[in-house]
Amino acid sequence: MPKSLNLTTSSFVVHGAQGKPILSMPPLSISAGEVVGVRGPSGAGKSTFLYALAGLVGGVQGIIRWGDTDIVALNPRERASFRARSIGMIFQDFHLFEELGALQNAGIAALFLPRPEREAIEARADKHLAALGIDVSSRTIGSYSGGERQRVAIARALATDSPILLADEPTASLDRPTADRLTDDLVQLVRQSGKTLITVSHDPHFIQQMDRVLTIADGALCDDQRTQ
Amino acid sequence: MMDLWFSLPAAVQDSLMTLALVMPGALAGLYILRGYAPWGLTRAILLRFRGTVAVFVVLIAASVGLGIALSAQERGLRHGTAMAADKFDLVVAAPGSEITAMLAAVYLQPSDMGLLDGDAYNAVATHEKVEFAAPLAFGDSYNSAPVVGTTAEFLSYLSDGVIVGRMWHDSEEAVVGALVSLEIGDTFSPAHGEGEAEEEDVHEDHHLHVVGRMAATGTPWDRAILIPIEAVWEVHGLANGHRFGAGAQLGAPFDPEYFPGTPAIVVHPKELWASYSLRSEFTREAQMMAFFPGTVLASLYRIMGDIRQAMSFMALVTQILVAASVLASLFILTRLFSRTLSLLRAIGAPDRFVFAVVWSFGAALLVAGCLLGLGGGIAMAAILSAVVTARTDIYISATLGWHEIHFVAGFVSAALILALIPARLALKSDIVASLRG
Ligand SMILES: Nc1ncnc2c1ncn2[C@@H]1O[C@H](COP(=O)(O)OP(=O)(O)OP(=O)(O)O)[C@@H](O)[C@H]1O
Ligand SMILES: [Mg+2]
Repeated sequence: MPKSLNLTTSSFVVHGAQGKPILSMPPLSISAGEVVGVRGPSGAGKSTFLYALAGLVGGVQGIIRWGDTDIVALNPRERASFRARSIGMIFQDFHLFEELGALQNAGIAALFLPRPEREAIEARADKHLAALGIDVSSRTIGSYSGGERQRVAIARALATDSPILLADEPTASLDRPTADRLTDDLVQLVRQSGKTLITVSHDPHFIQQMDRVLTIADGALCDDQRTQ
Repeated sequence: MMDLWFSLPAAVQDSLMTLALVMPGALAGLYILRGYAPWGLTRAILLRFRGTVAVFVVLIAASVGLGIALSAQERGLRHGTAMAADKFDLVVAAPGSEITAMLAAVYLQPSDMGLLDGDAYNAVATHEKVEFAAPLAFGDSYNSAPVVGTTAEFLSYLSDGVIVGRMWHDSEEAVVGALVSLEIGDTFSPAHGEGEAEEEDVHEDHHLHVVGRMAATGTPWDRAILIPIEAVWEVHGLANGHRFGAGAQLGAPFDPEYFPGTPAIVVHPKELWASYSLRSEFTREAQMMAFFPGTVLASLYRIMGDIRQAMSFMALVTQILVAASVLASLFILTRLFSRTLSLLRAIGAPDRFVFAVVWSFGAALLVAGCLLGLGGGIAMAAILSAVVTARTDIYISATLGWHEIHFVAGFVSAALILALIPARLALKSDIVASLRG
């Protein structure tokens, strides 16, 4: 598996429930290993953009190509398998399994990826949890704090060692110092491993650390800025 | 192929049948779960919704349990009533209803019956193929325990010769059934009538001494007080079956001229195969009829068999309704964790894995419910049996039979396959929509 993947898209449109377009983007090119922020007002279409890149929304018109793979052209099963191996997702509100422990949550992909890969996934989950400062106790995730949960969610995204990380406001529900520590950790991890990170965020501290910032408003790209 | 099947022992056939019934569900499960290990996650979901899950398990258990209890109970009842009639090879009575005669002679249910006279009795008792012919006399009771007059021969046969104390030696002695509240050494006076009809007029001047107690037989005879039939006749001021001056003779042979009559004679043939010819010989129009209680029971069961089929059918319909509502609620339950499922799909879990999680969740509910129902059903059947035994004195033991095992196996299997439907439907939801939800 490649360490990272570049993204090339044609101009593409995402259609909503009634077939009306909710996001239309110009051609984009993001190189492998780039760290990209996405910002914009609420309801602008940032999450929709991320879900489109992950192949999670239907109704996409255009080409969204990761490496050599056009995710729009894949059938649902191929998309799922592509996500499982190539994309780590981090959500705004964690989405963890309350009755499982930190390690089981972080290593959840071991349950459905082929047997030979399981050990490696669990080992990486363990390693990332440790790196993020989460003690792997026997408690279930229900008793972890918001910041700890978000770290577990990050460890889960990293456990499959996917070349792409997609994050949707990963620090939105955290307090300032916790959010800062987390974004620093995340950016450092990504840069070390050379993964491609695309993250939606309103957080200036986080945005500040990006190589490039896309601004989306009213379902369209209105700014594409390189910070360095 | 058929020959091979019929040549197998019954237990093997039944086990194979169980296996065949479980197979479709089990195979579906194996096929769905192949290559995956969803149980950790399933367990987490079960724990997360443990309250709701417990309610469903109990509901399934209750419906399965009731089905099992009724089925086991019904079989136990048939078995128990048949066992109670086991010692009554052939019964001869005055012409009339065989069922009434059987209820009176075998199960000691009081009823008005015609009497057989001395000649009829003599014809039966002196037949060369008859080992013994015991006349019975009903009608008296003591403290609601029926007092039955008969012969020592029959008493020994009924109790397999197991008597604590001793057999009676004269017409003032009695042997009680295992459950009668009299002790050896007690004295009592029988009253006229039985049950509701029990009258106040106690045969005050007749005192009987309890000298023995029969071993338990698991039949209504355990509540009966047995006395020499001569004693019954004497208490009612009748001849005692023997010529004056015959001394204190008890039991056969009786003198037809001094024989006051008996409502029923229990006949024990010398050889079992002789029963059929005896039955036809003792069936004489206007004088007497002879019947096998076992055959009468069988025809009763046959009538009940139709009812049983109707009942099984209704039980099946109920079961299907329960299964349908369980599936509907499984579908609703999966809504509870649709976010979980969407998350799994978002991070790349194949649909088949998500399907396996939902299905194993349903399977866990169903299997737990059925196992609990199996246990509960056995317990319920045991309680029902105890109640029926206490009320009828017919020993009923309702045990788990192959019929119930097949029923549960079939139910589990069908439910496991039907549980594929809600699992399939759970995959229909929109990933992003439920993640946002
Ligand atoms: N399936 C859909 N059908 C119709 N409209 C949709 C659909 N999904 C999203 N929308 C609309 O598209 C717009 C963009 O939604 P999106 O979630 O991408 O916004 P966002 O930029 O992530 O906002 P926020 O910052 O509040 O999370 C919203 O107005 C939303 O209501
Ligand atoms: Mg959003």
